[in-house]
Amino acid sequence: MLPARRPTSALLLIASTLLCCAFTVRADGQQSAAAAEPDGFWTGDNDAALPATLQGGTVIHAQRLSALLTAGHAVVVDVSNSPRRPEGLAPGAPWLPAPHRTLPGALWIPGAGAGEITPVFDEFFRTRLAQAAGENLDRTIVVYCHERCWLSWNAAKRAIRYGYRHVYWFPEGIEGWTAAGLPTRVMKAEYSPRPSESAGPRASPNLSGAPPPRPRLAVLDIELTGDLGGPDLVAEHEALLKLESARLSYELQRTGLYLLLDLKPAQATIDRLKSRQLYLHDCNGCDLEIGRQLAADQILVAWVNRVSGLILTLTYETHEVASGQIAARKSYDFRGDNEVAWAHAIDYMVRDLKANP
Amino acid sequence: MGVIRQAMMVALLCTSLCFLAARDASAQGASDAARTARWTELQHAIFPGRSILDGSAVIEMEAPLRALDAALVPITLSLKGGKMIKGVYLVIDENPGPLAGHFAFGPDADPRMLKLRVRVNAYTNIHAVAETGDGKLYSVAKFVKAAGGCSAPAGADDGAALQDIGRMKLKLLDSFVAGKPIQAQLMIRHPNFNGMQMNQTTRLYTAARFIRSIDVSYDGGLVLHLDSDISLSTDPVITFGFLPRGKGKLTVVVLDTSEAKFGASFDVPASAG
Repeated sequence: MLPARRPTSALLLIASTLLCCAFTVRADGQQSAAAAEPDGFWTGDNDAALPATLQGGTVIHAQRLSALLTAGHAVVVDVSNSPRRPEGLAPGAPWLPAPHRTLPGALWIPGAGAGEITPVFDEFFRTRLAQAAGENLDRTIVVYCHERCWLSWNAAKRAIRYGYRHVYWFPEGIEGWTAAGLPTRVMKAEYSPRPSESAGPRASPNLSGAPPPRPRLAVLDIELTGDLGGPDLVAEHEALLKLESARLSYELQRTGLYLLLDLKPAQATIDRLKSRQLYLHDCNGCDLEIGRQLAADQILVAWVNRVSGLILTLTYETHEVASGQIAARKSYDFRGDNEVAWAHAIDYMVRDLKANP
Repeated sequence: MGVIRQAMMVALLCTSLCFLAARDASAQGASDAARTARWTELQHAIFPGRSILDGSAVIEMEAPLRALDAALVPITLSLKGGKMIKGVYLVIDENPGPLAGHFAFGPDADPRMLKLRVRVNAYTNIHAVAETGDGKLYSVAKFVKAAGGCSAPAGADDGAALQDIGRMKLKLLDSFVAGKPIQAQLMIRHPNFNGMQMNQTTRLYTAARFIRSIDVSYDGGLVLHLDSDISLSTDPVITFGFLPRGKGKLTVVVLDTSEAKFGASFDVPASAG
């Protein structure tokens, strides 16, 4: 809160000059008259001028939102679009979507802010929100996307229509959040059906008494991200990745939980994808192609993010080949960029996976 | 109200503003590391095994710090320093398809200036990488604040956008003197659908259809070849220089991803009427 509430004229002049400067620097070129709230959802250009209000909800700004989130119990939803690899991209043209960053703990549900959505997707959004809010319409819901983005207004309005009584709209979006110096996290998109998709039945429960068959699992080689440590470490890391990938497959096989598949029949596909993608663990689901080719039920991708020679994180994800959904994801921090530490992390990961399948 | 109280208020106000400024700076600092990591990743992907030198003596880039329209961000590249320039790569770091275009200059080019408009998906560094005749790479970077340019609809009506697809116009920006470099502005009607734009009426993504390459030649001699990508704006406008040895014809051939080929030919100097 600003201390100068009723300054005298001289002070007012100084204060307003300072404030104006601050305002112009923060918002250069972005001043435009606020739009009126449409009756229904906004179906015009997404980046058109935004309204200053949201009927039935509350507009919130970065610092207050930060305080609100610190207090806890809010469901935060990012409805930014997710990049889609276009058909007809030249072979060899790099397609490398940057990691998507959200507010800490936010759900990323692309498509939930479109002006019109299909009944199927509407139901998905409603169910997902209810699940996140613990079926409690009094839970705080916060919706945002970018700084000039009607999608968040639409999605917030949708949440109000679902009956949520405490819906906050954060129109400054991720840009405003970052500009305020607040932290973000890398996040993956929630599964969101394409507008043309219809709701298929969920996996039917196993009614017979026989034990369920072991899932057919394809394990891709571990990948290294983050600070690679320069050219001196390239050979060492290559050897380490090869060794530890083999160890991972071996240890997973030993758990008896999976039927591990040989990757050789799909080697050509893997090589082709690798020539286009830096990382197969994060290539908009291109790994599913490998899974389909091997008739796998699931694909396991794992990667080590090297923050420094000391601080590293091992993460794995299993992807359902049929639906493209992420079945599981877990990260393990470890210390030391060396063979012993890597092996330790992988052993721990497999033990953990076995204990909590 | 005492003078002391006023002074205190000013001091407090200044402190809080300075505090805000400091936070801004730290946020910038934090994301700088991520941007550097991203550029390192892109260098590996786009220029594997090649080192990139500082290009401030070779190339200069103009781009708005904050773009008015993220789908139409103007970029001007000026090449200087007297080195023979073979081509220029334009990389928009945070775009999902980061390599926006690669310009290769032919013998009849005047590669000193290039202008184009691009789509920017998120706050990003833009890198211009010049390749000299000896195969060396030189880069410069600019930070641009713009977001959402990739999914911004190309226009109100997809049908109308496709109606006069491939129509071209050429404007000569200098008067013609044989043997002297001349600047030309090429305008191409093409929606450049990138597959990320949603039709506002049907709620379906408009199928991708974008320009894959543009070839410009003058009386049979190559001026420039552009391999473009989804980051080129709707209805591209490209300004470039060429060297007409005499009166002649500038020919443009545009190929898009649906294998459509568009051609146009322009008299230099422009014929009257």
